[in-house]
Amino acid sequence: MELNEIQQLVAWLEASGMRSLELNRPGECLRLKVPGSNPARVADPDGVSGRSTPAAAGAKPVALAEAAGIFLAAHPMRNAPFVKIGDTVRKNDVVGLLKTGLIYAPVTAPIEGVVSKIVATNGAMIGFGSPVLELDPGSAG
Amino acid sequence: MIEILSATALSSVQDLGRDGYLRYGVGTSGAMDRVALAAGNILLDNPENSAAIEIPFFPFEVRFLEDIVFALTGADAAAELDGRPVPPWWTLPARKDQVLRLNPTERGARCYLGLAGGIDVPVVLGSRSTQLRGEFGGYCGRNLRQGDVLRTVQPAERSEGSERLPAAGFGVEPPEFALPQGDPESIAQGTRTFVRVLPAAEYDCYEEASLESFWSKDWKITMQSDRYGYRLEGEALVPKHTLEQRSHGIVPGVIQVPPSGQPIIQLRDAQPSGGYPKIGTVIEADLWRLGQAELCTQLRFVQTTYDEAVSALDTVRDYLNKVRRLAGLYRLSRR
Repeated sequence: MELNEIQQLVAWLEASGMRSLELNRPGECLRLKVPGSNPARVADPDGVSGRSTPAAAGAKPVALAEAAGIFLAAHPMRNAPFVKIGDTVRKNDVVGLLKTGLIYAPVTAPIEGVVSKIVATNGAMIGFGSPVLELDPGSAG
Repeated sequence: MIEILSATALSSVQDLGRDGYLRYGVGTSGAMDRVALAAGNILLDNPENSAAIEIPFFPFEVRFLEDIVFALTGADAAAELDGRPVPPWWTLPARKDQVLRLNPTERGARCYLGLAGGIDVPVVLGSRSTQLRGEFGGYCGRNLRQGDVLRTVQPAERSEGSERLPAAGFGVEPPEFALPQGDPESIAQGTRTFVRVLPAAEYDCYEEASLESFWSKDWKITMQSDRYGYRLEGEALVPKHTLEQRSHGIVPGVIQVPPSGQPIIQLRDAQPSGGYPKIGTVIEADLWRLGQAELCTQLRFVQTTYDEAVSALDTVRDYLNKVRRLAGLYRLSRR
């Protein structure tokens, strides 16, 4: 693994709100830890440190950020956002993007449903596991 | 393996082009937007010069005949895989029998559909590009038709990129945002294209007023524009005296001025020679911008220097290197 790749991983790790990362490849093992990170944060339900967030966000199914990055509600080539409140989405539909450097990672719908609330702010930096939007499964169809 | 379902004309197999044969009268061909072609290949973990399909007219439909990862770059064609939207500049695994539909573009002129492993057509004179004038290269030396079946060089199951790809796929920032050129509004709306130009051999033979308007006025890309070249419309360029020349070698990007005074930019399927005076040359690093400029939109020329033209190529190279590095890391982080 190249040094600049490790630097990029460190940058993503710091931006993500996660505390450590371990990467195993044949013949290689990389373990990164954010210095001074407090183990108590894991138990903090309001933090962005884990996937405990959906419970804190209420009973509604939530599309979560599976990476850290800048939330883009619309693709820069388009004026219209991926979804608006009231739109019906299918499971795994792309509902937004997380931009990190030149990479656009998808935010996907966890289930079929109707978009009831868009939680993340367009253009804001959000952490790993942050809620992006809420879905109403009952009114789908 | 994919099958072309739609019969929309003028789609062709292209790679980065057939360099080194201009001296024998063989034009370069190759993708009109080589940055999009290369970036698509990088998303697929293919060699950058792998062949893909260049699609300038829509709708366009293909059926996947096996499970395979594909990438879309270039124009935003509001793509749908079995009815599910696919974002622009994106790579995604497709399953056997799924249908990919590209709709009329919302932005940009040409879409590139690449496949993991690269499209397999015979290499002729060092390239898989379709040479339409010579009717060789590409798929049988012609544009694609309904019913054509295209294979990949590497079998889909052995292509490494597919194992590492998350199901929803991922995308990269298009170069128009990563390497912006022009004013912010034109970039945001995509309505006016700015390209950098080097003055060419006969530049000084034009009236001052003509040179002034060459740089400061809009040039409309007329309907008589295609892979061979773009015919522009604007304030006619007036020479100081009549210019007559023997035919001489020309390259993609050369801006010729026929007697009408309305310039022509020669592009990838241009003849390798011509006799019209040359007022300028669009720099190689900006040719991809022309490839995505839509018919009837406006073009603006920005004067540049040889040194800037060379460093602009490095900037494009840096963008592609960065995309390769980050896409590799992203795949790794998703495993």
